[in-house]
Amino acid sequence: MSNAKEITILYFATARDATKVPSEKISLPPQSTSMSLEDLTNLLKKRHEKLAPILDNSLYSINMEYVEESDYQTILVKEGDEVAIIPPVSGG
Amino acid sequence: MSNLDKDFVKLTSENLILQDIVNLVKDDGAGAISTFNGTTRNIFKGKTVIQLEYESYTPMAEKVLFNLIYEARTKWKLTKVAIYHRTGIVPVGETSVIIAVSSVHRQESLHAVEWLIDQLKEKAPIWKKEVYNDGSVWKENAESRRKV
Repeated sequence: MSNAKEITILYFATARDATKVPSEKISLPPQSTSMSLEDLTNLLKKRHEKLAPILDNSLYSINMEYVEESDYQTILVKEGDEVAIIPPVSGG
Repeated sequence: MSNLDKDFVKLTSENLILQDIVNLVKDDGAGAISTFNGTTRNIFKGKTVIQLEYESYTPMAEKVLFNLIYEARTKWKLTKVAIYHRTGIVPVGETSVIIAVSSVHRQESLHAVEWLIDQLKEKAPIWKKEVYNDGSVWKENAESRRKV
């Protein structure tokens, strides 16, 4: 059992096709309890090459609330948060 | 946010039957029930669609839809509102979404139904994949919220 502080990332539609997993846990950097959405974006792009162009065209939600793009630098993702990649939707 | 006996939201892999959803919003005080019934099409830009698959972030989708109903109630006086959306495989020609709204007079529910389906297409975290003979494509609604 790891003691790393983790966040959960959910992938849907094109994002799931790119990562081949519906969700994964990401460990926060050592000694930190949060990271900015911008840092998370960079981390995910490194982790999944095919996800990069999809992230550029997707929105984020944190704990089921949409995040405004203007808040990416200031909003912090914290331990235990559920972050979802929301590609353009096509319900209806 | 949900109005327990007046708002009904569900994402389901089961067949949607218009009459069942209409029955949810029936009310003796309501003189109007307006509905939208969305159906899957068989042709996209000349390609034959053999099957559609809907995927959703279900808890968030239900939350978004309840919030939309809450917002609609600030715009119009509505009696009861139901939004049901299919998930999983939906054969061509079947219903993918039903919205039913009751109100005392017709204008309120007619306006609310149109607004709710437009908002659903923009905001609900639900995705549709069209499967053709030679591949498949995740669709994107023109209305979808996206980065600017």
